[in-house]
Amino acid sequence: MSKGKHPTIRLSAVVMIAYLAFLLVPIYWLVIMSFKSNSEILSMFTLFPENFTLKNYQTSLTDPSWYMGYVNSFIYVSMNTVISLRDQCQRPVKSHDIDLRSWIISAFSFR
Amino acid sequence: MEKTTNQRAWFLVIPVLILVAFSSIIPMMTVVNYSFQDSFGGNEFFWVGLEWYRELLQSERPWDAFGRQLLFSFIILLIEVPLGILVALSMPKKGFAASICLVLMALPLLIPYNVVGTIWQVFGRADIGLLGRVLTDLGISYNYTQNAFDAWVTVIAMDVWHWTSLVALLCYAGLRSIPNAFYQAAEIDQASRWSVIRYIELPKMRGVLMIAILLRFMDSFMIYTEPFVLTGGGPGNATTFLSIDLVKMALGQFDLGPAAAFSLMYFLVILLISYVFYTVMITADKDEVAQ
Repeated sequence: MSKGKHPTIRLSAVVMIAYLAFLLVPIYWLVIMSFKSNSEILSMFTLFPENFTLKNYQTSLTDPSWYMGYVNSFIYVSMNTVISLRDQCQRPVKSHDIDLRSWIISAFSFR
Repeated sequence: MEKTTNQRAWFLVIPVLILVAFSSIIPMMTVVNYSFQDSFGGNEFFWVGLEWYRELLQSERPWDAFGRQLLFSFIILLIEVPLGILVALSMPKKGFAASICLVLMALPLLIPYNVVGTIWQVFGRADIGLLGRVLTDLGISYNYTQNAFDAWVTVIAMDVWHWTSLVALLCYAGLRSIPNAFYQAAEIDQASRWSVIRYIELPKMRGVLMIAILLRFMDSFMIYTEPFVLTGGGPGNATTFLSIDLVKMALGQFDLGPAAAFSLMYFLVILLISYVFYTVMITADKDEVAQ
């Protein structure tokens, strides 16, 4: 048994790590890019931000043309939540809190 | 026994009717109206009957988009379903590692569609993206904005990246629900790992797999945002899937009549496919109960 089991565990770990790497590398790229300045992104190719900066976050949180996007999303989401509430009210629901949670989650998907 | 007739109960339905009318019936009927009429600007419409439908079915454009759409859905199912099963089988069974895997795998599912498109658009660029840069350095010419094949590879990789986790999580849930007795019986029979997969795990996953296939098929059949952000349906028309073509027709060229006819046919196709899938699923369920 142990003889046969050992390679399977190894193989599954390899598959799992490869898959997770495939998922995470694009996200990693997006995240480190958010910490780079525009000139660093365009002029040099670095795997890690050379001049770490939070300027991009500062811009997107203080410039109205950026942060109004979040505000609009929240307005939309709140209205959507209220409207989808009526869908839920019409259904006979057994466990209320589970359903409540699920529609809050569904309404909060910013798409 | 005498029945009392009380029609007042109908009034209770009114609020629902009004809401549904505004949220679905009126918009839907507007589209139906457009599909039977033509207009030369202004607000003047006149009746053209089935002309738009005839014209659309005879022109190549919707058929091309339909073909691309089917090919795309087929390819991503072909990749995502086996890969999802493989990942589900490889996932740790319990403990801390399982939780970590679940959280990391759920990440792409939580990212807004637009951002997924942006991630891959940046990631694939030869000048600033890791993927594009690495491929270029390896001597592989890769440019998704110029080359149709590269655009397809990127769109498919993007969809696999975005949605394989869903298939994997569903399969994982199916796997976890198999009682331990099955495995013990297999062990007594000295079943190989492959026959455990083939005769225990796959049949037990059939229900969730059907749901996963249905979900992935419908979602990929209606895909819009990701390829639109990536290339806007280009290069040329290479990744113009049905919904992108529809938007081009309706909002780009403002051909409301043909676009309305197009969208109604699109809707009917989706309805038909859903019905087929639903029937298959119900029958499969009955078979399972019968066994």
